[in-house]
Amino acid sequence: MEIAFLLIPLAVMLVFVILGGLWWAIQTGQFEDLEEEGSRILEQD
Amino acid sequence: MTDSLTAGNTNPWQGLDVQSEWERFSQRHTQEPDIWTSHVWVDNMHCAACSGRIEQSVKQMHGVLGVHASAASKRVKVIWDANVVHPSQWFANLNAIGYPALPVNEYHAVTDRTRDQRKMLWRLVVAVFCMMQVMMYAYPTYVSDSNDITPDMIQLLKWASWLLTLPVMLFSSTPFLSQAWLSLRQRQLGMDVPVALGIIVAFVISTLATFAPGGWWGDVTYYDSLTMFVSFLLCGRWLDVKLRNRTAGALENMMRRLPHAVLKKNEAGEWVQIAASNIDVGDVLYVRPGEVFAADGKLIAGNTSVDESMLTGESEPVLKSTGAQVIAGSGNLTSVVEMQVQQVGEGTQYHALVNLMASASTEKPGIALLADKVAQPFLWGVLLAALFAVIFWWTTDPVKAVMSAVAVLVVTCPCALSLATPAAMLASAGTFAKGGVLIRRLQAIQALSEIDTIVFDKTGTLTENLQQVVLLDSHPDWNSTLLLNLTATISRDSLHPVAKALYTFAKKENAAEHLPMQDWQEIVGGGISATLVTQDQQSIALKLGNASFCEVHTEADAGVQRLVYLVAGHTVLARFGLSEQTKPQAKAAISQLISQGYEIQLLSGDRIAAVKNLAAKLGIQVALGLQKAENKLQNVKALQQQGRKVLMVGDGLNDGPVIAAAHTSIAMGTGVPLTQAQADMVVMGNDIGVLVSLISHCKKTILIVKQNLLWAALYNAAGVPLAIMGLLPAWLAGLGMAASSLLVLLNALRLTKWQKGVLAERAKVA
Repeated sequence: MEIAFLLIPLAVMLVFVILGGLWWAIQTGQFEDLEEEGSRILEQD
Repeated sequence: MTDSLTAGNTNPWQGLDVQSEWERFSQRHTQEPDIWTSHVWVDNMHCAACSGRIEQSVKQMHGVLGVHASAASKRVKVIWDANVVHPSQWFANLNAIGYPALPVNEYHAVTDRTRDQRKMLWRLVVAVFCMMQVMMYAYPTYVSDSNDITPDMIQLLKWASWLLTLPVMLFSSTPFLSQAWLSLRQRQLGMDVPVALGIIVAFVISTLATFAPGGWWGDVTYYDSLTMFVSFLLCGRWLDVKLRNRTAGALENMMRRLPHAVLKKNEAGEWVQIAASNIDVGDVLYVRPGEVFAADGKLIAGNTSVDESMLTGESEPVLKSTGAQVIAGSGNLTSVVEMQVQQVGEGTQYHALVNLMASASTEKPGIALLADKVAQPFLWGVLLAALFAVIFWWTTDPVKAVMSAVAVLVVTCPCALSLATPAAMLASAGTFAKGGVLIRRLQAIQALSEIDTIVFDKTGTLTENLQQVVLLDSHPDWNSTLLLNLTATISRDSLHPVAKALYTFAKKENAAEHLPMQDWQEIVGGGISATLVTQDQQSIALKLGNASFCEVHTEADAGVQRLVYLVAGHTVLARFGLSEQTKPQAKAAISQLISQGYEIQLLSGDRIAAVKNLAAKLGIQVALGLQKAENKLQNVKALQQQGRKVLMVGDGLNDGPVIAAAHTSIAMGTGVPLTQAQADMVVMGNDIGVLVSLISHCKKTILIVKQNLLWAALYNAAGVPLAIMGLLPAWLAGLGMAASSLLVLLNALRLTKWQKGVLAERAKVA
């Protein structure tokens, strides 16, 4: 069970890493227009 | 491309080419001072193909660095270089390809709102993510025997949980903490005070238990209860912010009424383009057909028909000749005129109406305040109960004392007051929004469930603004197809609503519109004259217009609102009748509402005969014509004095004050944005049938709110005594709170099913 002493701090760090990713996603507006992006692939460039 | 660039003097957007003007809808690039990002709104961009065409066309322009068109929000973002290109050029380009654009003046407001929404989502994401992790760390201590985990491991889990609770505490819960602090500073007890108190106490106790276990505070932590609690609350807040933004955004998408640039006569007598904000009293402005008057004033040259429907709510165009008064916000329909400005900005009638609406809206009884008033005693009760628990247990067991208090705070706060009502209302509001009904105030749901009287406006609400055309009779010697062809050709180029209606009618009957015609002329207040050239080079003088213009006898009422003649010389070739068309669902909706026991009234600014006629057709008992805004307001106030709760369903701007004074109000989506901004609900479509199911769904919503409140009351009645007695550990209180919230939410979710329209409602009755 000693491995838990390593894994738990690692998990905590992982949470912060993932939160960083989510922060990026929110700040760049990834969640703002959920419908339109799906249809953009059908548009001509 | 070059065509639009050299649009020159005729480019109506030149007024935007001043930096102070374009700054209103653009943002400077952070590094390059000449690069700007502008946001414009394109009304008729409906699909992905439209946005593709826009992007393609504007991207080709020299000096345009990037274009992004979004069909969903009807917005186009253009990045451009001020050294190379000016806004008027790409505005002209958009116009040339068939997508007239408007600057989004509220650009900054939009970004503010987006920022708010992002921040709230970010708070929620942080709270939920940390909550999940904290739960995971809390789980072992709940399920294992005390011997299964080593004390070291428990300590490690506590530290990890503390670390993960820190962002929730310092960042996610700041809205509650700051709100609580604000209301305390105003010496009021807000809903957030017990919430904040619970959060802080639980965190402090848990922190002490983590880093200095063994004091009077014991060694039990409550990070899981705390984070879950904050997550649930934020969930509600985020839905609320999102819903409000969506409603506001949709309203903003409506046309701005007044023009941004106008043509003004300078000292030299030349027409120059100036920004609308620079108009002064005494200026002479040049107004083309299809444009909107930017200020109040009088006509000094030209005659025209004016569309004042935005201000009066009625569709009939008004004839204005030289010397007549015109008002800002009304539309010039038929010919070029010059006007002298007498009032600008705040002094105009347009602004007066806006201000009238604003003042009427402040008279509104605040149901929100009432809810706060009911909440006050409850909140005091909660705090007193918590205090009682502390005092009761302190001498025997300080830990138990504090934790009982926290249990009281946690077990009570969210479900009963913070969640029960908004959860149900938000569920309904979201459902309505999907079905095309926007809600500005959540209280409107309650208000709508209480009404007993419905006052309708006529035009645009019960009837279509478009005029319905019937061919009454035609000359026996003339082929009716030929007559329709003539009508289509002669009416094709006119902007007058009647001519437009006739043209649409003829086209629907498959009429051709390319007969050889000469000397086409439109006479204001009369009609159109033209000369038809036949195949054997004969000329026939044709006229399309009203009786006096066509020199025929005025007839008695033919059962239509307006008669239009097509004559050749003095021979009447055809007679058209025009009338307003009743909306398809109107009759069914009205009879349903009457059968459900609602008192229905019709108040309209239109002629009495037309109003009575429509009322008889729809089965409405009380109908009044020639009603101005003040009359309508008086009528509604009189009804309210009889103790009636009035729902106002309106459309035009002159309904604004009435809409604000009524118990609650609904605006049909074709009306002006200002009215909609005042109305509690906005029906985006044109379908009046929605009304019946809307009211019944609101009643259902209130029923579910009551169920939720009853459940919460029972839960609190059981939970609080248990918590005070110390029988409820904080984690169980948290769990009870969560389960209770979940139950409330699930109950509210039943409201997401809404069958729209009068037909669905009828099916249910049958």
